[in-house]
Amino acid sequence: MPNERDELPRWMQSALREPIATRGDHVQEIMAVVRDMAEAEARVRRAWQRRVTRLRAIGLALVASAAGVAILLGSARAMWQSSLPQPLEASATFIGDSIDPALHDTFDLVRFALRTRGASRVVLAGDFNAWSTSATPLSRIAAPNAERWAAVVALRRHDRRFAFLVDGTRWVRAPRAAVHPEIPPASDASSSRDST
Amino acid sequence: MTASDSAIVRRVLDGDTESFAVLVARHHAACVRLATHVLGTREDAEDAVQETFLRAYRHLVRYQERERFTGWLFRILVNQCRTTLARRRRGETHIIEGAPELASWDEDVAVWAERDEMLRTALERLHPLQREAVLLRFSADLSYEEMAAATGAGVSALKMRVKRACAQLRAMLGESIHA
Repeated sequence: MPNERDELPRWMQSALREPIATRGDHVQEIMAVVRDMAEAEARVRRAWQRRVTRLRAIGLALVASAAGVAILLGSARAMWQSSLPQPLEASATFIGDSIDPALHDTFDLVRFALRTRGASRVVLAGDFNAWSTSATPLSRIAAPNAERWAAVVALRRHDRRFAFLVDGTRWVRAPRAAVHPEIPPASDASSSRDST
Repeated sequence: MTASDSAIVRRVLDGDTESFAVLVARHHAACVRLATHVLGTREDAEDAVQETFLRAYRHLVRYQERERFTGWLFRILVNQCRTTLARRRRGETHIIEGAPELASWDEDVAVWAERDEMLRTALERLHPLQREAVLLRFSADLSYEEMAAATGAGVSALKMRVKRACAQLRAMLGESIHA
């Protein structure tokens, strides 16, 4: 197999490898441009780092602002919610029997309580007072996180339907198990009105 | 002990720009020789070589140490020379002063006493891809694998180009001259 090097005459191979004279400062010229490029890149890098730092600061400020806005919104929402009258807890507790000698009848003493916020008047209405919306007001009792209203009422044992009326407009169901523990609670049909 | 090209590249990438001068000094002559043979003039060759080193510096991070730095550098140089040649073909006609017309070559060959000038002219007459292949092989002294990486052509195609280029050079310059 012929040597590839023999395909081209030796003088041609030598001529092709001979050094070519160039300007003596050509290498320095190239390096001068390289240095300029390096300096330009460094400038761009520094500018970019400054921009990143600035964007980070802006980002942090935005995050902090967003957090502040969220806190303010949360507070405003909490304040708005707290301004609404809300039944938090209603209870009716059997205290004991009471005998009225004049009427020759036995009453159940029941303590009704309602915990709510923002209400200005709470009354108890039911069969026992012919569903009067003013006859049996509850007294306000200050509580740490809510306003508590309470009243003790003497109920005949067949007076088993009652409800709270908040601020004259809002009916709140009263517990039906409030009556004497020996008497079964009223059925749904008989107590439908107490949640009207 | 002389640092390898790869070690110098690592230094440059680490921020030591001045180390790039070692690479330029080490490969400048070979690049100028190849570019001069491909492009025909020293001025164009110097421009191409300068642009080659600047591109190499700019994209140094892409150089992978598993290949010879020379091969990677020549790939950039070949592309740069091709760009210059394409620009010439688009209208910036480049005429090598003193190049004879092809028809009158055989008659005038005896007039050309200087071998280098004759070789330069003969190279100019080769097909650009053949000229590029024969120069990468005999001037830059690349292996066919490195030539393939530099040109994007296959090894067998490059071998064929070199073979045909050699045959044409021999035919144009005559066997008697190289005796």
